[in-house]
Amino acid sequence: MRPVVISPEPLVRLGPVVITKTVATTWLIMALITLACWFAKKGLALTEKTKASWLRDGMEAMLEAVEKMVKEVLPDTDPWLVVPVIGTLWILIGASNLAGLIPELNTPTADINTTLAFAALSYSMTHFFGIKTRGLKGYISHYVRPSWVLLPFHLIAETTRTMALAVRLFGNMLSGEMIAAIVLGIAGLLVPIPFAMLHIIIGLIQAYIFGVLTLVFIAGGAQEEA
Amino acid sequence: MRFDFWTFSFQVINFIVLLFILKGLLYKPVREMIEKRRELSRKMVEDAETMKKEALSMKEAQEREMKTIQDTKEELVERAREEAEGERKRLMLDAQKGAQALIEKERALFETEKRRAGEELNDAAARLVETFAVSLLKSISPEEVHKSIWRNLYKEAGQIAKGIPAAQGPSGSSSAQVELAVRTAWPIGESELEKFIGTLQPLVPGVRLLAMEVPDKDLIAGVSIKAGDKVYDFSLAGQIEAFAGKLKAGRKISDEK
Repeated sequence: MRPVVISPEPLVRLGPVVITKTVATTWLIMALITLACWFAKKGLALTEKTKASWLRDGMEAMLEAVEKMVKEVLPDTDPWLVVPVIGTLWILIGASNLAGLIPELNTPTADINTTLAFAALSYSMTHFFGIKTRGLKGYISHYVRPSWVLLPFHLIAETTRTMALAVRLFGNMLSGEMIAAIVLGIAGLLVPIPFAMLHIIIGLIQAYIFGVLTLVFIAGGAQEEA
Repeated sequence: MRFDFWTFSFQVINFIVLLFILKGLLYKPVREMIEKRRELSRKMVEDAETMKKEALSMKEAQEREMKTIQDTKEELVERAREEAEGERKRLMLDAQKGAQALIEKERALFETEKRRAGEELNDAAARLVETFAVSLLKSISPEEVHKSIWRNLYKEAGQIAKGIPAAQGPSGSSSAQVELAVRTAWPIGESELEKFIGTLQPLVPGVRLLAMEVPDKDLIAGVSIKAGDKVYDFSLAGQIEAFAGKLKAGRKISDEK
């Protein structure tokens, strides 16, 4: 039974810099994503069916779905300003969620530091697009509307929703890993397969939820209040 | 579970790095391809719309052309019908004129033939009458008729005298002599002839009359006296011939009327 570690495991120490297993796995995932995208890009130049065409078609379908969703949420904004952020979140979180299925690799999103980093990025992007769309003054002013009294509540709401974003993903992934480890330890080799399937579905759904919530937060920050 | 600054920082950096990698490798080419495909699709739709409009335009033009052709056809047919009708009327008129001319010509020919046949009939009738009369008169006693004519001849002496040429010329010429040739159907006799000359002589003073009897049975009865270039026919044959001539002349006059 593989132990479930909820604290980051140091892999390499370079002076004060500690490279954990989570970071190393993320790099591996990034390398695989880059490779896949390189193949997909190569496939984009080809009109006929190739071995890479399924990858190209999959990437296209996913990005068109993101574009469509962004258009629905932000109809007055160029969707391709937001699509890369949401797309990268989906791809990286989705791949990270599924990485735990490969032996000897852990799930980076089962590390609270990873989900906190993604939540922090989501939080930053919300402010970035809010300021870009409405201007600094216009964006900040929404914190004091309709009254100054609501400012702390706005700040608390934004902090808690960001924390909720991080904890939700972390909790789901960690619980999935723990269930898989427990079932594997108790029932043997074949029994955890349904749980693994469930883990895949949960992983993809969580990635989707994270991306959609980020998009909703960005839209909320970018759009004027009625 | 504890917060690890380096892991947190690396993950933030990892995300940003991956974002830029994917921008170059995925988002930009996919976006370009999607835009290109949409542009191509839009262009195809526009082309299809343009072709549809062109097809509609061509269809309308063709319909207009067909209508024009139909109108022209109807106009030509109508014109041809009118021309045919005009030609038919003209031909009918010509035919009527021709027929009328033919009828007139035939009528004229008929009238001519009718007139000629009438004339021939009249001539035949006159000849028949003449022949009949001659035969009839020959069969009865023409001598009596001859004598009767001779007796009446004395009454015509004045008229005969007027016809004697010398009598109309300047008088006083005692040497003027006129010979009268008296053709007769029956013998007159010298005494009777001298008696007649004796009756006639006082009517033509200055002219000495001489009479010569010439027998001519064709006269049937009566006499025919020739004085100079004039002939005074008192014969029955001459009367019949005159009657026949009058018969013909009378018919001609009635025809002319």
